[in-house]
Amino acid sequence: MTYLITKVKTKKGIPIVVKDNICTKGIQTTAGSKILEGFVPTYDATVIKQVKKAGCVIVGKSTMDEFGFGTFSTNCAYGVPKNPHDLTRSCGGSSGGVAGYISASKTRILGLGQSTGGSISCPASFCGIVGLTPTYGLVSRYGLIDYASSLDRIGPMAKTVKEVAWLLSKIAKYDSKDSTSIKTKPQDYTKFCGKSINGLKIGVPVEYLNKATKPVRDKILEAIKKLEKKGAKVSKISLKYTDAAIPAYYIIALSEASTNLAKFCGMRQGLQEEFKGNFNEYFSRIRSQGFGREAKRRILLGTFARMAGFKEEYYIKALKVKTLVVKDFQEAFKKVDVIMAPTMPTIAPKFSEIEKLKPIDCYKADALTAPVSLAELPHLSVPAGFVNKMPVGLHLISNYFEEGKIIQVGDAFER
Amino acid sequence: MHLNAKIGLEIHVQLNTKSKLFCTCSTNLAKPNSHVCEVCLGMPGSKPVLNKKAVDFSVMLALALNCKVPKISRFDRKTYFYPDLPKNYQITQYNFPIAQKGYLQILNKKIQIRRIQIEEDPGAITYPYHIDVSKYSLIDYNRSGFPLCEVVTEPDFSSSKEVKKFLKMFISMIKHLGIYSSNNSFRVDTNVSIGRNPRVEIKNIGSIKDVVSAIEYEIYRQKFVLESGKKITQQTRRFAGSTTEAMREKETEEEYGHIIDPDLPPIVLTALHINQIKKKLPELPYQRAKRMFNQYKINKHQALAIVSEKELADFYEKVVKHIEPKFAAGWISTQLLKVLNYNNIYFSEINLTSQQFISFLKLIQAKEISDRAADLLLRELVLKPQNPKKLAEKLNLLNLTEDELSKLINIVLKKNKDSVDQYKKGKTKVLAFLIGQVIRESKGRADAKIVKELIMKKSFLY
Amino acid sequence: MKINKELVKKVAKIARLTLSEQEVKQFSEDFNDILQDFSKLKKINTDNVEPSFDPIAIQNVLRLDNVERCLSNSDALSNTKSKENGFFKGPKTI
Repeated sequence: MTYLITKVKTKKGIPIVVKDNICTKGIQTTAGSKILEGFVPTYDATVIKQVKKAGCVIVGKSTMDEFGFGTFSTNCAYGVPKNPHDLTRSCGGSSGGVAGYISASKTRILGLGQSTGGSISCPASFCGIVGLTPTYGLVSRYGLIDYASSLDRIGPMAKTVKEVAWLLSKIAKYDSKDSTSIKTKPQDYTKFCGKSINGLKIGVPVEYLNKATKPVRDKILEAIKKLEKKGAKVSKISLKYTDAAIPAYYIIALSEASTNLAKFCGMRQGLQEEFKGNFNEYFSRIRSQGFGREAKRRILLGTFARMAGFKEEYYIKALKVKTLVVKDFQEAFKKVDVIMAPTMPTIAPKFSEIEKLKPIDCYKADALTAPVSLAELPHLSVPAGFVNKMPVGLHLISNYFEEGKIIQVGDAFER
Repeated sequence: MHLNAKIGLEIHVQLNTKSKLFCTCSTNLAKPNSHVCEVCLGMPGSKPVLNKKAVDFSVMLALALNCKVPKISRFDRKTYFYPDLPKNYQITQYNFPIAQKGYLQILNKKIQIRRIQIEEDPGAITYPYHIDVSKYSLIDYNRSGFPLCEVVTEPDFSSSKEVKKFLKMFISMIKHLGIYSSNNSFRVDTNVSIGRNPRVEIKNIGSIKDVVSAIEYEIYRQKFVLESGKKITQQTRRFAGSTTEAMREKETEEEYGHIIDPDLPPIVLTALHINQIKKKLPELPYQRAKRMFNQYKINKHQALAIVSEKELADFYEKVVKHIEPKFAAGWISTQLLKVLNYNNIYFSEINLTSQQFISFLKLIQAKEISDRAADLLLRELVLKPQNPKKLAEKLNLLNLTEDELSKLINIVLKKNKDSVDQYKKGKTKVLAFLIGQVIRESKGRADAKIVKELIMKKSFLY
Repeated sequence: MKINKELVKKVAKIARLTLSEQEVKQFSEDFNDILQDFSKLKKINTDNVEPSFDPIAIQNVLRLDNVERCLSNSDALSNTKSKENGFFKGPKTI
C-alpha cells in the first residue's frame, strides 16, 4: 500500500507521518515530484524541530500530489494512495498520503499535512479522519517546500480532535526565520476539548449546502441537529462571493507557484543530467522531464496570469476579489462564532471517475475549501458519518486565531 | 555631426552591511561557496528575512538624494532563468520602491533621480577556461543575497564629463553616509542615445573610468553608424575594455512577470521614523564643503574639489591641523589633483599619508624647496609615497645650501661681468636679470629672495 | 479570451518547458476551458477595492545585521553531483 515515499526506521516516541513537502534533515524530501528525487535537505523545517522536541518520531514521508497540485492525490510521481475505506477510491489531496496512512493505521499515529486550497481538509474528509488548517501565519512555513507562499499552511492531522489539538499546540509558535509568522502567545489547545458549546452561534452558508450532493447535504443536516441538541444556535447565512473564490484562488496560487517552481532546473539539487546545450536548453529539458502534466499545466497558467498584458486582468483582479472574499467572511463573523458546512461536495470519487474529469472540473472540486483557504481563515474537518460506506467530513471555520472555537465545536461533535 | 547625447545611469551599490540582505551569512570575502546557507542558495523550503540595516542605509541614501520616501514599499519577484540566480527569481523592488523623484546637483545642473530600490545580488559565474570554449560554468554563491541599492537616474546627462563628476560626487556621498566602503562592489549600467535615436544600453561596468570610456566610445560608435547611412538599433551591449560590443542575442525574450513577493511583509515608514533617520544623517559632501568654506576660509571651488572624494576631504582635515588651511587647500585642490588627473587615478587609490604631505608642505613653507621643485617632487611623491625630504634629496630637488649658492653666485657674476658693471653704474634693474640667471643655473634650487640677499652681500658688486 | 497555440508556445518558452505538439494542443484546450470559467471574475465589481497583497496584516519584519551560522562548503554542495573545486557546476551561458 503506497502511502509513504520514504520509510524511516522507527524509534521510541510518538509516531508521526510527515507530508513529503516538509523538509527533514537527512531524510529524502521530494514534494511528490520526480524533479526533487534524491533531494536530502541539510536542515529540518521548523515544525519538524518542534515535533521532535515534543517527543515525536518520524515514521515516514508521505506521497502527495506533486508540489500540492491536486485534489485527489492522483498527480503523484511516487504512487497514488488508495482510500482505506474503498481501494477503488481516492484518498483526496494533496495530503492524501498522510490521511490514508492515518486512516489505515490500527495504532496511534499523528500526521503533519499541508494545505493551500484545502489539501488537509479534503483528504481528512474523504478518509474519515480529523484535519486542522491553522490561520495563515500561526504555524511556521520555514522548511515547507512552497506551492503558493501567501496561501500555504502546515497543519495537524490525526484520528481525533484532541490529538489534533495537542499537535497544534506544539507547532503554533512564532518563528523568526519565517517573515510571515505571527507573534502569538503559545497555548494548549487541548483545553478547548471537553467544553460545552451551549449558546455558541453557528452559521451554515446556503451556497455551500447547495453545492453538495443530497446524501452529503443530509449528513450535514444531521450534524446540525446534533449540535443544536448540545446547545448550539444554528442559523443560515449567505457568503455571496463563494463562486468567485475558485478562480481567484487558482489565479493567485498558480501565479505564485510558477515563481516558486522556477528554482527547479537541474542545478544545485534534484534531477540532474550532463550539461548538453546552453543553459536555456538544459533547464527546459530537465523541467520537462521532471515535472508531471498537472505541474506543467499550473506553471503555464501561473506564468500567463502574471505576464505583462494579462496581469491586470488576472493576477491583480484576483487579488481584489480576495479582498471581497475576506470581507464576506468578516461580515458573517459579526453574526456567528463559527461557520459550518460540508467539507467536500461529495464522498471520495472513484479513480475511474477522476480519469474522466477535465482539469477545470478538478479545480471546481475545491469549491467549498477554496474560499476559506483564500481568506486565510482556520478550518477543521471532522468525520460526520458515512454515505455509501464512505466518510463524509464536516467543516468548521472560525475567525483568525480562533482555533479554540472550532476545536471546541469539533470535539463536542465528536463526543 | 552635432547631435545631443542623452545619457542615463543605473547604479548598483553594494551596501556595507555585515550580513546579507535576506539571511545571516557574512558578506566578507571567503573561499567559494563557504558563506552560503539554505536561504541564499535558494534551497527548497527556505524563506527570506529582511536586514534592517539595509533598509536604514537605503533610506539614508534616499534622503541624501532629496528623494520622496513613500510610506509603504514592497518587494517583488523578478523571474528569469540564469545559473547565477539560485531561485531563478531575484527579490527586488519594481512596483513599490523605497524612494522616488530626487536629485543630485553637479556643477550647475540638477540630475534627477527617478527611483531607488533595494534588491539582492545574484551569485558570480566564472568559467574553467575561456567562455567560448568552456563546456560548463562555475558558480560561487557567496555573493548571492548581497544587499544592493539600485539608483536610477533620468537621462539628464549630456556628456561623459558630467557623468564623471556625478559618479565621483555620488561615491563621495555614499562613503560620507557610511553605507559603502571601497571593499564593496559598485556596478553601473548606462543608456546612451544621440538625437532622437533609440537608446543603447551598456551593462555591468565596474569603475568610473570604464563608464566614461564606454560612454565616449558609444557616442562615437553611434555617430559613426549614422554617418555611414545606417540606423541605430535598440540593443544591449557590454563594455569590452575600451569599446562596447553587442551582447549575443538572447534567444528568449525575458518576461519577468513581476509579482509582489508574498514571503515579505511591506516596509512601512512613518514620517516620524524618516525624520529620525534624517536627523542622524552624517555630514554630507556639500555640507562639508560649506563648513570648510566657513571654517577654513577657503574658496568654494577648492572646497568642492576637496570633498569630491571622502578620503581626500578626511586627508585635508588632518593636514590643516598642522598647516595653514588656505595654503594647504591651494596645494591640494590644484597641484595634487592635477597630478592625480594626469595619471588618471583617484586619491583613494594612492597611499600618501597626511603626515607625508604635511612634511612636504613644511618644506615649501621653510623655503627648503622652491615651488617649481615642489611641483616636480609632488609628481614623484604621489606615485611613490615616502618621506618627502629624503625623496627630494635623492632627486636633487632641495634648495642649495648658502655655501653652494654663494659659490654659484660667484660663477654667475663672473660670467656676467657686463651686467655687474652695469649694476655698479647704477642700473639696478639688472639685479633681476642676475637673480634670474642664478636661479636658472641652480636648476630651480634657489629661492629668489635668498639669492637677492646673497648677491647684495657680494663685495665686488660695490 | 481565446488561447491559441502560439500563446501557449510563448508561455512555455518563458517558463522553460519544452512541449510536444500534442501537449501544446492539449494545453490550449485546457486553458480555454479554464479561462472561460475564470472569466466570471470580470463580472465582479472591484472598483475602489484594494488588492490583498498582504496575506496577513503584518509589516516591518526586520532582523538585526548580525552574522550567524552558515553551511559548510560540503553541505552546500551535498545535493549535487555537478561540482568542482568548491564551485557549483552549471550549464554554459552562451
